[in-house]
Amino acid sequence: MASTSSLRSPRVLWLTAPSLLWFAVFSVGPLAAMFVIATLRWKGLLYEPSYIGTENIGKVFADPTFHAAVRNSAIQVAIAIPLMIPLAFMLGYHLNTRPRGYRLLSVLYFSPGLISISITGMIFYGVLSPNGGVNGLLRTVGLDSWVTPWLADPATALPSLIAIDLWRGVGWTAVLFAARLASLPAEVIEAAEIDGAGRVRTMWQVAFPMVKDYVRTLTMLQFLWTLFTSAALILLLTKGGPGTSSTTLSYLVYAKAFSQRDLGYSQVVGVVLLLLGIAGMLLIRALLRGHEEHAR
Amino acid sequence: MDHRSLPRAVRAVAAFAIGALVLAPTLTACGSDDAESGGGSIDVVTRWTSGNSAAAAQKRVFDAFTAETGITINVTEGLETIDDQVENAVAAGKSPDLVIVNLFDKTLGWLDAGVTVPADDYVKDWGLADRMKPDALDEWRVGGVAGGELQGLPFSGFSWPLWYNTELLTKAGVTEIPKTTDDLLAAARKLRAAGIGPVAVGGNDWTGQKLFYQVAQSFTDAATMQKVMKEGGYCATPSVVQGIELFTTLRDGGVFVDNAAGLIADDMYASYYSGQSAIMSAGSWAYTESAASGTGIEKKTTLGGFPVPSGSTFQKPTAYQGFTGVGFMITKQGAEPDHIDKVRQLVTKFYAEATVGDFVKDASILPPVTGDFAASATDPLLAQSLKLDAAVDYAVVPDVWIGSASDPIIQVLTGAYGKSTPQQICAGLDTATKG
Repeated sequence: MASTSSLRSPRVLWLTAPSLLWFAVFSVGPLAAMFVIATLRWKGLLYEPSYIGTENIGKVFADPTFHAAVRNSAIQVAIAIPLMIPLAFMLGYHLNTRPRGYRLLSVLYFSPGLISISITGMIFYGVLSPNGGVNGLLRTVGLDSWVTPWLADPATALPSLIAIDLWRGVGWTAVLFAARLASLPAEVIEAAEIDGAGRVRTMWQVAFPMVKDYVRTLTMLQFLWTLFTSAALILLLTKGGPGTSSTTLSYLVYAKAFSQRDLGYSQVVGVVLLLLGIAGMLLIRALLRGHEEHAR
Repeated sequence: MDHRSLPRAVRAVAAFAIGALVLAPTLTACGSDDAESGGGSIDVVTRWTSGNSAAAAQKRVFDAFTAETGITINVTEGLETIDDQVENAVAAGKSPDLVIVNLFDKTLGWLDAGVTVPADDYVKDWGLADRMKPDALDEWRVGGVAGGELQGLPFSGFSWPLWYNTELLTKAGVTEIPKTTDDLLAAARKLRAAGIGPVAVGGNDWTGQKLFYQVAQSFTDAATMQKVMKEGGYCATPSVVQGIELFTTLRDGGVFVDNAAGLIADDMYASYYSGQSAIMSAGSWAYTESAASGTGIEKKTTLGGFPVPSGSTFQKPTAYQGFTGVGFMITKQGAEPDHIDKVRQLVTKFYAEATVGDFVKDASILPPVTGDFAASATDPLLAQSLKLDAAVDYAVVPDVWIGSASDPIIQVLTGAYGKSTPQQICAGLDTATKG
């Protein structure tokens, strides 16, 4: 077996060069390009860019559409993540207790994660369109006054998208939690139950602290997915409308770059998104810090 | 014209997914040296895709062209995002020679971006100048006026009237097709009382956008409307605000079907063809498709215009017509000395009288060239359409003027079909136009 010092020898470290090169070209490069493009007036690949310094920043921060996008992204994350993670944890804990039919339940919970985003879009267009499933159900039960174009009403477009985020995220995350909870020592849970702890108390005061690091990781991932990848579903279902009622920062990056031919603006929003992503991760890290880290 | 039948967003995703698979091998062939046959090859991206009423006529042209010249055609079907498809191919150095596409949104910038070349000389050199309708050519010129550079060769002209299901109107007690907006409001009330939807429209896509502009320009002259569409100033132009107020009055008076804000073109066609609603606004490309629906709707339909208010700048109900439908845009690659003759042979084949007649018959296009195509106008709705000039005034088609602001404008207008106030609508349109 090679010693630790030999593994750290410069000769061996050279073996990491290809992966470092890959990382530099495909991760650091685009990241740096984002900051550079943010200083350009550029309509797209077919056009000549021109340097305009910080002009794009002023333009973005003075734009009401950007303000709406910040507000919508904040609402989306602030509702989706605090609902998704506890729900997923509870479902995951339930799965881990191996109730009757838990294998089927695992498949059902995980299935939204196996459906492509375009299929998801088509499913929910069918469900939420004016003549779709939800309105049909409402009419059937006599709630005609509740019928509305869910994706085209400013009051319901963003909540509908958040509901879809939850549909996609809760079950899938629950299965991941169940997998992690399965690795906990069974005797700890049994001991808590023998000591008279109820199911809820065992779940939140025994199991949850033991997997807190994992909860933190999944919370960070769901936060980033929600913040960064909402554009796809919005493009499919609402195109950011009506007006700007469902425009998020992620969709604004897409719309400005691909639809409205303003790459500089788009990348300024991209930088803001990046900074918000980092800030959000630090916040989650602070909120879900493990016992050991507190003790340090 | 923007003949979209599915939501752009759904098509966009399809474009990225399918395009990667389909375009990769096909567009890789673009710009390749001639190797397939003695006559070489030509690379074409076309908006006339499978299922389009013009696809069969196009295929007959392609097949005959290859049989006569020995030149093979590498065809790529352009999806809803054909503009992005072509731009990406050009940026990757895999430009097609010829793009068969509408003049709208991003394609309006292709000449400026160097994707395509001016077509003025080709029209003359290829012997088409005397046959092409001057109006059709002007619509394809930069700025939409005589003297501007020609961005491509127009082919597919369209008319875009209101469709009235007279059987349903009669059933609801509406004895005459509405000519004024007051008539329309009264008709909507009667239709609703009879359980029939009034005007079906896709308030969430381009169909709603076109109908909105048709109403919004009721009190505005063409030149002012074009300027506002191009530069903004909706709120600052009283006659346009008046038109927007008319739109919200009609909306609030129940003229549009319930929840129109959430509907798209497919919903509109389905609602009208199935008899759930009595009126819709649709272009001539739908004439043959309506007959193909098998509902018999083409026999119950009378074509007309959108009713006008008192004090309107229009004397008669309004419709659209134009030639910014599908045409031929020649790329820089296609204009290369070793490519242009093949492009010429293919493009001029489309303008042969028999071929134009074929398209008139199959796809109900308005011919871009002079000639007698009455024998080809066998579709009953097309025959009605050809007599529309006496019954309607023509409004300004927005596509060329709103350009790449089209999508943000649709976002604003989705709200207009919902509950937005005239002030919110005009402010939103100004923001969308100015970017």
